[in-house]
Amino acid sequence: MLRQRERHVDTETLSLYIDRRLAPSVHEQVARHLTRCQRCRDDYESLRQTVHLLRSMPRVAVPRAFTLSEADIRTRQSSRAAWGWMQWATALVAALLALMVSLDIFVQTIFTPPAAPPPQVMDAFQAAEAPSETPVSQAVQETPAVKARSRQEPRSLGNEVMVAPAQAPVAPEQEVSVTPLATTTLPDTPSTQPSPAGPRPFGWPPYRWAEVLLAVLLVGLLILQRTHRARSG
Amino acid sequence: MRQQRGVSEEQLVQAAKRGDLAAFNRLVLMYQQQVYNIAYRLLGDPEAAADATQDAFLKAYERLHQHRGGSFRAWLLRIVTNTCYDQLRKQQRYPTQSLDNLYSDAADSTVESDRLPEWQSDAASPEEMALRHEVFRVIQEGLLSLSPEHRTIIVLSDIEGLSYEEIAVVLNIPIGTVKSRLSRARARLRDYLRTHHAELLPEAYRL
Repeated sequence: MLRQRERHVDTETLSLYIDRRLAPSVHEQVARHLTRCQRCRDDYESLRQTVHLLRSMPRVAVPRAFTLSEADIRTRQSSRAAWGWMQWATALVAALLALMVSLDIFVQTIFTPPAAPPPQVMDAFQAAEAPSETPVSQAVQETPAVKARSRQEPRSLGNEVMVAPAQAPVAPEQEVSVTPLATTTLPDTPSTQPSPAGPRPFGWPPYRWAEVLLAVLLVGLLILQRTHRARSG
Repeated sequence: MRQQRGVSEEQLVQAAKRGDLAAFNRLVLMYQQQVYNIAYRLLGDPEAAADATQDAFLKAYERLHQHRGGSFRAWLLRIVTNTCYDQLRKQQRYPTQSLDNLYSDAADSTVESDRLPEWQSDAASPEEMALRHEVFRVIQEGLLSLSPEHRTIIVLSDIEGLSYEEIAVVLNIPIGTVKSRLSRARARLRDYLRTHHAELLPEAYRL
């Protein structure tokens, strides 16, 4: 607002003065100040001229009518529906993947009978364990399941081969403790594993493949969502 | 404007809410000129403005149920400004044309004069018209040099002639903010003109 008599008028007050939005008494005060103060008058004139130029800007004619057709709305609705569907699908795939992986781990760590582990399940488990396990194979903790595995070695097939030769010379009875953490990285790394020379190069059980498939699907959906967002803002 | 063939705007809004597309399209026809002009001034590009206008009306139709009384125009213009902000943000993230192109588009004489039946029809000499055209080009350039916030408030207030109160509703800000932001925006534009086109300002103010 307008300050003391000898102070200059600030820009906001001048702007309000131009729009006639000041209280009548203040308006009067500003008007009187402007007659006396050259600097404020110049300030005011330039601001007023700027506003005047803006107010004289021509209206631009519309290039076409923007009325909506039923088709416009249907297209929009179906694209929104697709978008909603995609989000649901992503959530579903993610949930399914999490469920399968945790069930996988659960079955591996809790329900594998020590005496006779189902070879299929063990294979898959160890195949996944292999990359993260080998560097730390000197660890000394043992679990019944792992001990059982070592004893069952002759029976095991396929990917088992990857783990066994590396560890056998060091200490046949010493194995890494089986931590669920290590298994969480498994589903999307099949190609990074050294190709096993055993008789079953792709000896994963179907559900493991399903996990990989779900992981790939999830990545695909996430990429699709990103590009969709980039396009439609 | 608010009253058209005996049907009030409020009645059209209510009908549109019930899914009457024809009623909504009458609202579109009432406001498309203003919506397009705002988008054009904010984006500085006819194509982008047309896209934003279409998008804004589609969004408005979809979100009609969210409109709970009050000024339909203010509600619509809020959608428009937000749509334009989104577009500006996208332009920054995925620039498809440089700022220079944007300026020359806005300055393109065929584009602008094609769309200016009002002042073309004015009885003005070709020199005068060329001069005015140059002035409008410079102003648009100045607008585009401002931040989106400053540009918006100037467009709504000084080009579209909205009241402070309506701007406060459109931008969802207090009146006090409208006043201060508008004054700063005007001062910025004035400074731009002073630096680049001092001839447009009063003699005493020129450097």
